[in-house]
Amino acid sequence: MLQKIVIAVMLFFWSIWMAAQPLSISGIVSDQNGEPIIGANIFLEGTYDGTSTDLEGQFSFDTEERGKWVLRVSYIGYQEFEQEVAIGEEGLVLNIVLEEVANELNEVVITAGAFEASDRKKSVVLKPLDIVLTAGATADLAGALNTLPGTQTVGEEGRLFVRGGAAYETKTFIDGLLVLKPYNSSVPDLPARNRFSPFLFKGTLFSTGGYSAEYGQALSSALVLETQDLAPETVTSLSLMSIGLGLSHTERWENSSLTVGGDYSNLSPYMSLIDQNINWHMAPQGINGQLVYRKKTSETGFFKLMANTSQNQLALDYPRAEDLALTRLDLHNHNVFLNTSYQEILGERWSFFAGAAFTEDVDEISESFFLKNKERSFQLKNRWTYTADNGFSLKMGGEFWRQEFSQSYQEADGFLWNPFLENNYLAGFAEANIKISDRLLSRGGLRMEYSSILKESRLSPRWSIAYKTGDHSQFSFAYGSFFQTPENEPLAVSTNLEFEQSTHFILNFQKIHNDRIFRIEAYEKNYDQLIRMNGRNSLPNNGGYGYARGVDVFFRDRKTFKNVDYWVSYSFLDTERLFRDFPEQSRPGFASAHNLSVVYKQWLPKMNTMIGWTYSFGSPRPFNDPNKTVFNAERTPAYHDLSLNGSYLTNWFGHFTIVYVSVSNVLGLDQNFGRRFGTQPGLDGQFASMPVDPAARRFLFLGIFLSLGQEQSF
Amino acid sequence: MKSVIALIVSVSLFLNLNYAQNARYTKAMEKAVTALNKAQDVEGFMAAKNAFERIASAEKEEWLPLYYQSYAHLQAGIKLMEKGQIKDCAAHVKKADDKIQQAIKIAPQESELFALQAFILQGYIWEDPQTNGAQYTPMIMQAVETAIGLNPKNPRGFCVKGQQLYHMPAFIGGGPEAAKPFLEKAITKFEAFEPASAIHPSWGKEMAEELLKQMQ
Repeated sequence: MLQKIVIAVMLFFWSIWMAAQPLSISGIVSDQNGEPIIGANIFLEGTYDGTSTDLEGQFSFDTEERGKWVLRVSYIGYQEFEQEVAIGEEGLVLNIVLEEVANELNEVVITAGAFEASDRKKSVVLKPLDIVLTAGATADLAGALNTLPGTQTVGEEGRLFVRGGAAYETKTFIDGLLVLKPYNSSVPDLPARNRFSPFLFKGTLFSTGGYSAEYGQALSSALVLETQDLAPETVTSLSLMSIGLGLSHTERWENSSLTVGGDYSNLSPYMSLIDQNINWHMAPQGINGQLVYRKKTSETGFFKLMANTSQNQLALDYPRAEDLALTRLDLHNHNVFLNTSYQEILGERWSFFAGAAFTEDVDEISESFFLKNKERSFQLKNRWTYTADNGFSLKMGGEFWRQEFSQSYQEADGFLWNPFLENNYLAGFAEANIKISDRLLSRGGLRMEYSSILKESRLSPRWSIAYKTGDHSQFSFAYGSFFQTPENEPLAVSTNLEFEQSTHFILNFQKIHNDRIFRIEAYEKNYDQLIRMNGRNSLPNNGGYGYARGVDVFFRDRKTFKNVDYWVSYSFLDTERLFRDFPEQSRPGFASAHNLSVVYKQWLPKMNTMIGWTYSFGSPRPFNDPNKTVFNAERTPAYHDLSLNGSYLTNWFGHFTIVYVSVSNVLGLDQNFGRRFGTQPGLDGQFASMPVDPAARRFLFLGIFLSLGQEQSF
Repeated sequence: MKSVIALIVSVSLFLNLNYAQNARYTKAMEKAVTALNKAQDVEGFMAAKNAFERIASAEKEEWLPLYYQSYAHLQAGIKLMEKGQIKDCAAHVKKADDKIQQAIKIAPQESELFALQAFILQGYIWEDPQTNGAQYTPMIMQAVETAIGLNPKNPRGFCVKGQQLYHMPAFIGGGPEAAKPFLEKAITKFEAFEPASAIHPSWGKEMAEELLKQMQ
């Protein structure tokens, strides 16, 4: 028996001794072009055995291991290589090729129609901070986006007009969900502001056409905003502005954060100091309350909730529609907005998104008449994304949207009009991204939409392709068809309407290199089924149509001059349409042929100050004089504006403070937006008219923003 | 009896192997740490990193191999930044961040890991101060406070805090004056600090001294 043990022990040591005979594993590591990779790490996973490649990319190391092992090769900037190897009684010689990690800067992406601002992604045109710090934008999202090509300056509106499209053709989406009322309520000719602070968003995708099948109900443009994740720290913020004040507190816990804030704005002190062209009975004022909750539900799961409520009002002498006699008009708006979403990654390949949004918006206008518009919407959406290793991904989902609109209109003589509309909108979408090669990417999608009020469904195909022509340049092309439910007003009087429709073709060239960006884009957009009225008193129908074509150019340079960032946007637009009450096809009043913006920012590090200016130009726009026989033959003067801004970062009483100043129309140029005409002729048979001018020659904004951090240690 | 002998043989063999394993780990780590301390350029740091990566692949319960992998990437990143290669630097900073997060999962109570994490997070600010400054500064401060909280004797917590304050603009409470007390504290702590072994972290003193010297 002892003998047996001795033999067993000997056998055991022998086997160890046998195994201990080192065998060599050698070979060469190179990249896809056959160039050797120097300093790559090559080893047997789970052992100490391995080495680095030499100046020729060659390696050789010894191992005492036998059997099946995983050989791993790593080198920064390249995908980790893994191969199962069987080590027998002879050494191994291996020829290993590493693939470059798809670098965001070199990667082919679809850029046709898309302007992106993001902190995380590198190949973007703008950073979120750029939006906040653009002169003339006074921290207004639409104002900043108006310095990008493809937009038209329409000074009296303040909304986004994209490529010959009317304002309602641009839709805003927050965390994937449509925003019913992105702008504060205003009266015609007074510019509206976006309801949402640009500070809420970490990513902005401004698409001027050809966008993804995930988004619908916008004929011209989609503004896709992604809100911030967890707030970075516990902080109390106080803002003192020439137009009001705000206070908010953020509490940050390990995996969640909550912000509660409110602000009060009142323009009357400001307006009493600065000359106004308007006789205000009550300067615009409002209160706004906000709650933002964020929770990281797991390593990869995230829950977001944002709730917002606001009340705004104003009263002014406003030209009455019929004869332009100045009459007191009161506007009161009440808005509640709720947006919530949940995201999670399921396994290696799938991710899931679910979101819900609710909006209630009530406008009350009283003049010689009383008008109340009440809108309510409720939206549900989900999306599933599948991602494969080889650059293929598939996104699909569905959304349901219920919208209610009720109006009550009452004239002094007792005339009453109470339309009520409800629309259930259902949509499903699927879209695939296929990376055909490292240079070629194709994205194809389909969107199916159904509207209960129109009683019809439509299928819209979208397709884009991008081809990389060099390390820093690429072409992309996008095509898509888009449908939009007509606006409430025509729907309220006619039940027999269909979706309005547009088709986009976009060709884009982009080059990004060394902090310089150059883009040029040509597009053609065809409209069909636009809402039109054949005469003043006829019912609206889908008989309208039109086209818009043009070229957009964008150049941005952050490299040439130290601490200087500037961009230039130019858009040429040729458009005509037959819509609304147009008697013939003509250029609409919001479309100028030439638009130019130059944005300049300079950072003065020693003074902790940033100064900037923005110059905007818009060529004359048409308007119709009903006293003339030729339709739409009048022209506004060209629009010029030079705005300045400056921000100074400092420390007041131990608290981080930003002082922000901005002035629009510094040069005090005359800005005129055409003439407004009465809807009814006077006794002499002529329609009365008056000029449409800005509410004031200049707008001055002063704000002091204090962060009262909790940690005083830094 | 037979089974007793067999048991003794196998237990002693096992212990022996286990001891050999430990000795092998320490020896390999010592060799790699020496290489790391000698490294002068990106290639040197990456060669040391390769050695730590191989050790980490075998020693999945140890935080030190991951820690040094991360540290070597950060040092390589700093070298690249000094040469103005910001984008290459950013790739190393990202790798350093990934590795330190893996290490924190293994040893969530280890002060050294958070001190290094704070240092790495500064790398994101070098990349794009305007965009990343506001986002990462609170994260850096949180990591530093965690490092100090877990081990108030660890000088590297104070050292990184001093460094962060030194480079932070005065309007958010930074600047050399704000940094000075923490750097001085770090120096005192360095003098009293004894690393747990030859393979435990020992960097930072020169960095603190250098910053204090620049203030004079």
